[in-house]
Amino acid sequence: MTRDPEAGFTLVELLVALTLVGLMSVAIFGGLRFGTRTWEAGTQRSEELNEVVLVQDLMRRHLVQLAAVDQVRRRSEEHPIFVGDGQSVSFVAPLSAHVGLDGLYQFELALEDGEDREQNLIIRWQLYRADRVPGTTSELDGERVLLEGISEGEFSYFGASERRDEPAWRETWSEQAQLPALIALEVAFPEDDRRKWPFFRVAPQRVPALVRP
Amino acid sequence: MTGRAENRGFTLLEVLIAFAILAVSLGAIFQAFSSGLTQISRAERAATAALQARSLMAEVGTVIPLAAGETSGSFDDEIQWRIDIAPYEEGGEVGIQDFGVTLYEVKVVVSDDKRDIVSLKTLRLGEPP
Repeated sequence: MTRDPEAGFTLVELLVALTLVGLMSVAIFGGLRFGTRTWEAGTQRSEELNEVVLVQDLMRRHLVQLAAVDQVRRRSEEHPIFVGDGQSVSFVAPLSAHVGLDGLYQFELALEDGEDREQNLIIRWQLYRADRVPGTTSELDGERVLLEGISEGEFSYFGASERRDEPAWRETWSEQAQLPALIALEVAFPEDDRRKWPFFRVAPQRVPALVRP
Repeated sequence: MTGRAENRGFTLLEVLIAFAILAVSLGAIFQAFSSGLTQISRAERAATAALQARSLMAEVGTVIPLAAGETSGSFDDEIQWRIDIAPYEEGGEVGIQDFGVTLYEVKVVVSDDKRDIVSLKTLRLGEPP
């Protein structure tokens, strides 16, 4: 079949070509959209997880170091070293070594009401001094929100009180001679929130019961 | 076939082959993205299990007594945990038991239905059995 070299495409050829190009671009753009969506979902999920991992690490790091504080108590009886209830826990510990500041700090971890009946987990710190007048502030004090949008949260404490010998879980811990053996924090996120709070327990380091003077 | 070869265009077969190649390569790209997502959820599970294992380790010696034995439980339907405590076998002539204490090997394993996700091991000093 010889063709006129000047002849263009027939309508059918043009339609077929257009359909092919259309199909191809649908496939490619669909692929691109799928790609960006999974990319974003992936980043978001790892960010959500990172947040929880970092918060648990930070809490563990500070709560574990309560040991250093055992000696402080003897010097200043009137300052409680460790007080905890369901919504907050207050303790004395050194700042993490990498912050590069010496000295002991009074920390408070608290679940406080935020927006929309949700709670935030907050950490506060101030330089610990036995002669500090309550209510005063210094430039070394600070506060930071660790977790936002918590639907429910509760601290609890495991240990033996002075009167009861059998250790047990308790809702509050105050005016005890010892530190609790275990501190727990349960956190629940709202149902539409994909974050999860892994099982969290910290055992403050203390002088082992075996080593008695 | 000769003479006008340069104006010939593609045959249907060629176009189909080109399409097949395109489809295969797009499929490979999708595959890469979705396996990325799978990897992220695996990483998520591993990181969560590591945190859970550390918390379980904290429970040994407090809620869970430091004595030889096995304790197990589960966090939800998919994630189980197991704690094995056994006296640690030492070599050498002078053992730690000569000082009135026992060395225990504590092993915490967090696993799902198929395999262990995280396994932590440590040595703890405790009272003799």
